[in-house]
Amino acid sequence: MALSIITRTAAPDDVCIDIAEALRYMGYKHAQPDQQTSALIQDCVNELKNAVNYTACLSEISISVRDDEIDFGFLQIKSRDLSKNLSGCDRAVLFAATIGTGTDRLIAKYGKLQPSRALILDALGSAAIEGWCNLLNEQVRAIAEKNNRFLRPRFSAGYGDFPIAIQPQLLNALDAHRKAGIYLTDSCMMLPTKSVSAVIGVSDRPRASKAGCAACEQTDCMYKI
Amino acid sequence: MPQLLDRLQQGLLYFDGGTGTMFQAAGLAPGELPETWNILHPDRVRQVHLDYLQAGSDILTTNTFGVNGLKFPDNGSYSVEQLTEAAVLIAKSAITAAGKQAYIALDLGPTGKLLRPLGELHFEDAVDLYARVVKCGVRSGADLILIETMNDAYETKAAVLAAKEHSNLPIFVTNVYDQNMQLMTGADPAAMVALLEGLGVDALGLNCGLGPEQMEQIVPVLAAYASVPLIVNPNAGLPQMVNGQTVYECSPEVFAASMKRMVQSGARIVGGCCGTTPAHIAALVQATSQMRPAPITPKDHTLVSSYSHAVKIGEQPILIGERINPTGKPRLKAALREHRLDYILEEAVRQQQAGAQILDVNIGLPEIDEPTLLREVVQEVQGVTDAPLQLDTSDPKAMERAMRIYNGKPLINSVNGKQESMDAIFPLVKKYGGAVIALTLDEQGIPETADGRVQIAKTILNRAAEYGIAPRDIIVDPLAMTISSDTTSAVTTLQTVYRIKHELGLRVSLGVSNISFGLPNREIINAAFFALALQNGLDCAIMNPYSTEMMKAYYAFLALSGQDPNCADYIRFATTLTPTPTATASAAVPTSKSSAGLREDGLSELSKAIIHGLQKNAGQLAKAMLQSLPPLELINGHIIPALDTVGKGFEQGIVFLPQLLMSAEAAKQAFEAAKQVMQSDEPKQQKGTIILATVKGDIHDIGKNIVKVLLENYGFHVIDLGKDVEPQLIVDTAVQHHIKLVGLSALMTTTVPSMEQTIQLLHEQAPWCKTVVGGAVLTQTYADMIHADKYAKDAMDTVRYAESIFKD
Repeated sequence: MALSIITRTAAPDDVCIDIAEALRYMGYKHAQPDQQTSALIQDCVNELKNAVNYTACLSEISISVRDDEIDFGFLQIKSRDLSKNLSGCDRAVLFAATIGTGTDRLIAKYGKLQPSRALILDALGSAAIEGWCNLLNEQVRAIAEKNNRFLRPRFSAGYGDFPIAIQPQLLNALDAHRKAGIYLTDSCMMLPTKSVSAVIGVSDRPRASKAGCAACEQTDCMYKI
Repeated sequence: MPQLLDRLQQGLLYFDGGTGTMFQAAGLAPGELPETWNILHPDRVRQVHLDYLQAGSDILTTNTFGVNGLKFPDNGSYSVEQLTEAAVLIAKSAITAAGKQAYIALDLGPTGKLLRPLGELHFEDAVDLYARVVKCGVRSGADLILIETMNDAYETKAAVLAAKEHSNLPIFVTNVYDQNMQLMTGADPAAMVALLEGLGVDALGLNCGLGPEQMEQIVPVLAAYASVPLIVNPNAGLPQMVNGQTVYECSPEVFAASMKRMVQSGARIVGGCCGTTPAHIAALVQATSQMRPAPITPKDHTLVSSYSHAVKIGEQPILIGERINPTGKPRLKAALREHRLDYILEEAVRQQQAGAQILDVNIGLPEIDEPTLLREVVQEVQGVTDAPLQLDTSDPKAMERAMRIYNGKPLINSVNGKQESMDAIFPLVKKYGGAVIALTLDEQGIPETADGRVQIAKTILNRAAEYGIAPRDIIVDPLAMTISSDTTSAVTTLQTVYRIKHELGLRVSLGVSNISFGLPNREIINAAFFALALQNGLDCAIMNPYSTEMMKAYYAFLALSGQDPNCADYIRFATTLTPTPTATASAAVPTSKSSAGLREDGLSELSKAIIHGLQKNAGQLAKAMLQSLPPLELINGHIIPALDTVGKGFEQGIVFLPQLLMSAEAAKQAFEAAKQVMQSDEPKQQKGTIILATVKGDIHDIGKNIVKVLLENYGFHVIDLGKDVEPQLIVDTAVQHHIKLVGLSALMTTTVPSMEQTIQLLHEQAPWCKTVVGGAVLTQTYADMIHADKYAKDAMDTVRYAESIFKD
């Protein structure tokens, strides 16, 4: 309610959908799809581009990190992994982003009629929300660097010991339902399903840190590379 | 004080503006719910109302935006009733204190939950949540109901129904549009006008989301369709971040200038939303109070809609697909009896692809529970297509249930001149909205002359008017009767089409194909009659969109009647017309070797088509082979070996999931072809029955759907209970059918506990039943922890486990 929130949108062609990333979600580790599958994937990319509606809301806030505790002002939490990520940061950008309900409709439709298509659209949708987050991240970085400030890799509830149970407070604070059309189910799933919320630490000092799979401690994940 | 609706006829009305910023300035803490101030700080809420009254607002919005039973549960500090009553009383006391005339709008915002099928909230639960607030608001003395900031058409409908069912107050509705002129869940302005005017709201428009300048693009579009007054409550521009603070870009002056332009293009009820203050409202009043708003003019568009768009009947002729109707279709009958809705969903998608803009849905069979099934089919069909639906049933109870849950404004098939029919249908149209097909028959039957049919149309029109249903929502069907028994019947029907269109000024529809009943090669007659009817003024036809002859007549008519600029649609259609391919063993399978390196030597063309996932070819090849091969040999000699090859390739890691599924889908086409020629006394190739479900709280069901298609391929019968399934329902189903294997999927750690609960209940009540679990978060460790019998790492793993369970 009390945070200063701005909204962002992007056109379908502004966001990069990383096909290699989508292939990884479909279970291709290093192999390439055959001709038939490639054609189907290309068809799905076109269909997805007509269905996406990139929307996000963001807010920059002051934070303080002490030992394992992070104080966001509206929320105090204990998380070793997040405090490690945010060490040296005095501010953070919170955001919630989505690619909209159109993709969920397509996945539901083909789940009943043509599961191969549903699977591919699901993977492409995941790559699309990742691409949208990357774009937002770049926009935040550009502003920060002008002010000689540096970002930490974005960190989402559910990573490590950053509890997913804080999602209601985080999304409420961002007014994500009203500003970006993002809902939360009783079991803390975001809807539309291709949505992400995250914290990006902002600091005076640069720091090389691990991102993506390298930053995650889980070892028995089927998508790990 | 004049009645609100009378006052609205006289001139502009002013809403209030945003409250968030003002509450924050008055001390609202982060995370504090503003509605609690109705009890904790009524003076501060009252002061905001007073400031707006001072600025010139005619309508105060109660501080009840977030009041509902989900945000304020019964075990909380404040009840819905307490907060609602207090909010209305505060507004009243502000009006008294200001000594001014003003109306109190009971504010209903979104529930905060997304409705099914996209989300988890049931439509009727949403209606109930709103009903509680409405009942209390009415009791407390609100003057109107404002449903606002709605970004989903379906939730908007739920709120309007609650308002209609529990009050007689005027209903105003505003939706949130984005820069693409759509609601978050996809509806465009015409779709919202169709839905809301169908439901009978008194004013409609838009609020929040955008600033006034962006709304200037949308207001003229709404004005072109709407017959009721328009409401415009923008934000104070788009928010910008300046030194860590949100600043709205619009000053009161800029805001007022933009609002003035929107009043010129048709806005009549104006105010503000986020970021607007009493200063914005004061500037707005000053800039516009001397203006005469554009007159409210009734529009003559006949609109029906889906969750996304409206279809306009009365301009270019509209095709209504007739294929979802069991009459004369044994396969559809069988699918309905066996509750195989996939078959219907495929028909829906195919008809739309073939060019149908509206789809008729008729599932009437004597032995089924039509009210229950029609409701379910309508929801399912809306899950796969965005075409508006024509609800087709003679059972008023089935019609009401379907109209209630329909997401949009449906076409109703049908009413006729019989008193009984009009008494049953018109109240439903009045309540839920709809355009209705009116058949020109009455207690005396179908008149033989055009005069007689026109007379019935007039009777129906007059009776509709008594219910307040406008002529634009009556589409007359003057009934095509076969020329094989009366050769003048086509002439009579065509004359009636012409007279209804040109004398009565109504829209006209026909079920075209009846004209040729009893004649050979019916399509020849149908297509010619269709062209003649179009020339006489036919607006829509219930027809078979797969009929090439009918589509030829349609596109040729559009081109010849000057309704197809540059003949573009005709050219596109005509160039796709190719000779029907004959299914031969040479159907094209790519010669390039399979990248997976699967061994294909010695395999038939059909097997290869399945391995390559070529659906169309697999179906055609199977049909051709079945002319000389018994179905069981086709299955065992060609389909199963192909599936085995792909399945083994998947297990070896040289075939990947998309390809596995494409093969499964191609195999399904071949199975279908085999099933069609199989004698009913041949043994069924069924290995056993398995329940699949995505557990309670989880709505990601893609994994479950993948497992389902593979299990069916391997000969298992699957009872698919869907997603977000109550544990007890799974157990009851297992007990009822004595099921040996239940497959459960979950995506998130937060829903694994409901998986555990389901397994525990199964152990207690169906101890013979095995469980197999899978899903993104699951691991062997998790599966052991919740006592599942088997953790399946992928879909093939589930198939192999099922085979081991059912091997004896």
